[in-house]
Amino acid sequence: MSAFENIYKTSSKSRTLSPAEIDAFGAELDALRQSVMDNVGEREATYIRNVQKLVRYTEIGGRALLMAGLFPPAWLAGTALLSVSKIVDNMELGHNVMHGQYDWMNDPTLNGNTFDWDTVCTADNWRQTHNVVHHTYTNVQDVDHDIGYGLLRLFPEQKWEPRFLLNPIAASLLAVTFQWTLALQSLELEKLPKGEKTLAEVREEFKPILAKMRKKFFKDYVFFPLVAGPFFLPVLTGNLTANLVRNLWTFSIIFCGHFTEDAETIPEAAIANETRGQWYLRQIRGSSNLTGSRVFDFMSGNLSYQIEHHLFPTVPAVRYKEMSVKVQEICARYGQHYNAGPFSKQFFTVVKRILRYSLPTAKPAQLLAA
Amino acid sequence: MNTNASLNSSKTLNPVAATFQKLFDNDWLDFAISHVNPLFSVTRTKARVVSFHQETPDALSILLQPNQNWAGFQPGQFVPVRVDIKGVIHERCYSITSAPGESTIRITVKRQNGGLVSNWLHQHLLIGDIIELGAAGGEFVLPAVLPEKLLFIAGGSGITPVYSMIRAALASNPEADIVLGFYARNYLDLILLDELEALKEKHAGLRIQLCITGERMFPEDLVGRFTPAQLQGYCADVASRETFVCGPAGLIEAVVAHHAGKGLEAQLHKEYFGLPPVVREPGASAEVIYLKSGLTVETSEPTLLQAAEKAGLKPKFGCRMGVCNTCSCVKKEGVVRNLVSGAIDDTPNTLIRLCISEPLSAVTLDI
Repeated sequence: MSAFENIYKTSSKSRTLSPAEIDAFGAELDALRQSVMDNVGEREATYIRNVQKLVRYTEIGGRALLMAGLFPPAWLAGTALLSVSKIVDNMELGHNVMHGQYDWMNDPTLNGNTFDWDTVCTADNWRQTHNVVHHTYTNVQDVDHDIGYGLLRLFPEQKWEPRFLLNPIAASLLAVTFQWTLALQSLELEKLPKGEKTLAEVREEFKPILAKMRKKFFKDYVFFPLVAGPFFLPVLTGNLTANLVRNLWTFSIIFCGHFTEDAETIPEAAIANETRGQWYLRQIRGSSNLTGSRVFDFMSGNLSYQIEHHLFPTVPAVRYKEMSVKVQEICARYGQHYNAGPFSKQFFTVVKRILRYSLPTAKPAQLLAA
Repeated sequence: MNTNASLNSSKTLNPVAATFQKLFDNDWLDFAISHVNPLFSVTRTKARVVSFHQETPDALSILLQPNQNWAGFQPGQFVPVRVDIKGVIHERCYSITSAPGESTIRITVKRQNGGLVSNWLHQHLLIGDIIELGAAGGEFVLPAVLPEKLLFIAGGSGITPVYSMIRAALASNPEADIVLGFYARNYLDLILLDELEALKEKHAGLRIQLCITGERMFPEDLVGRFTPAQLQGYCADVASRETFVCGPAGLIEAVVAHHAGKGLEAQLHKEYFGLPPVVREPGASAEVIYLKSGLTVETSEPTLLQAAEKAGLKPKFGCRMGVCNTCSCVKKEGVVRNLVSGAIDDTPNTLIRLCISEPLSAVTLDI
């Protein structure tokens, strides 16, 4: 029995599969992916172009309304529109396009390798930390940096340190400043005090990040307020609020995707010589879905189907809903736990995790045995 | 592609526009100004369809009005045309058949049997539609100093760049001595013949020899495919002429063999039309051209990522299993198989993931 099977046998709500079952499981998911990609085309192209238009029109509308922001309803409506624009730009458009989900369109404005989004996190750093590290090594201990972002302790397998007593405060700060802290993620600042990284390296890597930070800061907090002239303040506060709304929303969605109650992590040793079926299995074990309305799906960038997103990161996300029906059916047949629940419930378990692992907990004995 | 145009335009921008360009990316600005006029773009060359002219039953000329980013062309060059067909942008190159310096450009498109883009242009393109163009390209152009005597050999739609070159040659030297051997399957395939004959009326130095491989209707025309003896018949002084040949591979190879046999290779210029890609046998090697690196390497590696690494390149990669998209790059030409889905991609200028792409023919990559 390999380390891979062993680890799941002991800690999971899912049944242990034989190697042959894992291969068959993977083949079914491959076939599902293919059946969807075979009829991806005009519908998805029209859809994503409309999403792109929505982002732009809501941005124009929001910023225009904020120019009249001394009038409270205009400020509210403008801030709400701008928040929607920023959230959709970030999630349904940016995140999904940067995965290469729409590369088949050959549209240079929707190209996964060149697309840039309206957040301070540089697109190139994101493609590395998210597309490569997080998606290839989902919930692998010490490799998937998204486990706590080097800041939080979220799983018992992470070694406790006194700094984790501040877990709740750190998590709140992370939520409020999410786009800024995400921009710094690739620097892996937690390696500095341990001497695993030099200040000179960090300084060099920080240059492109600083450039993007300056650009976005200037746009939201200098340029548009100045253009508004006497309405400087409502524009400034509107932009600040819209960015805050997006920070809180993206933080919540992302944390609910991987750090809910039943989410599992696995040690690095277990993924050596991982087969495609095992890779699929790990994506399911490490991800959790949020059940909600179609509007909720849209505003989460379809990350409410986090499991499907992790199984099929390059399939247009708008197809995840229909795929989820089949994925659940396949999971049920193979006895695999399909972690899904409403946002309020899943978020509550995330908060519980943040609180619980701020205190020292022993590594589960059965995990140590593996 | 239009980097020159964009650099030029940003130089002349006023400070306000320059600030805007820093704050908003070009796609965003393009979106905004397209509401004023759908042709407007900061860097991209867009063109409006002005009119159509059916040249032959399967050749259509399209007159286009390009925007300010169009950087011009030399007679004989082609222009990449990008159209949105069912949500996917497809690109094909077509010869420009108008004269340089005009405000509009004309392309002539022959409908290819089973060809996606040429058929779409024939059936669905409408007057007023906006399409996107790349920068004109191609080495098949007249020499900087026009030779005194010229021979053109064109087969089928290969006449399109040749027509442009003949007209340009006569514009710069109305007395130029030009022979054109024009090969076609039948009379209905003689694209642009009326315009060629109008040129002949005006310029005594232009001689046109029609060669029909099908049934002949007029005694002055020749019958059958290109042969050296036939060429000798309508152009005895071939040795003293700069020769330009354009058409299907068979015609070009016959002309190349003829010129090689007489030691005339140095004065022969050629452009292939409709050359099918060579599909490699499993396990055989394929040629990969790395454009940005300026390398051409034979490979028998299973994937293009491994091929590039073997060739000493260091393309960016991540998961090596088709998930993370880090290694995706533009395939300019060639046929590849997606090892995950099995899909065959033979269209030019598409994005492929190197780690799961197997070369099935010579492949040109933009890395």
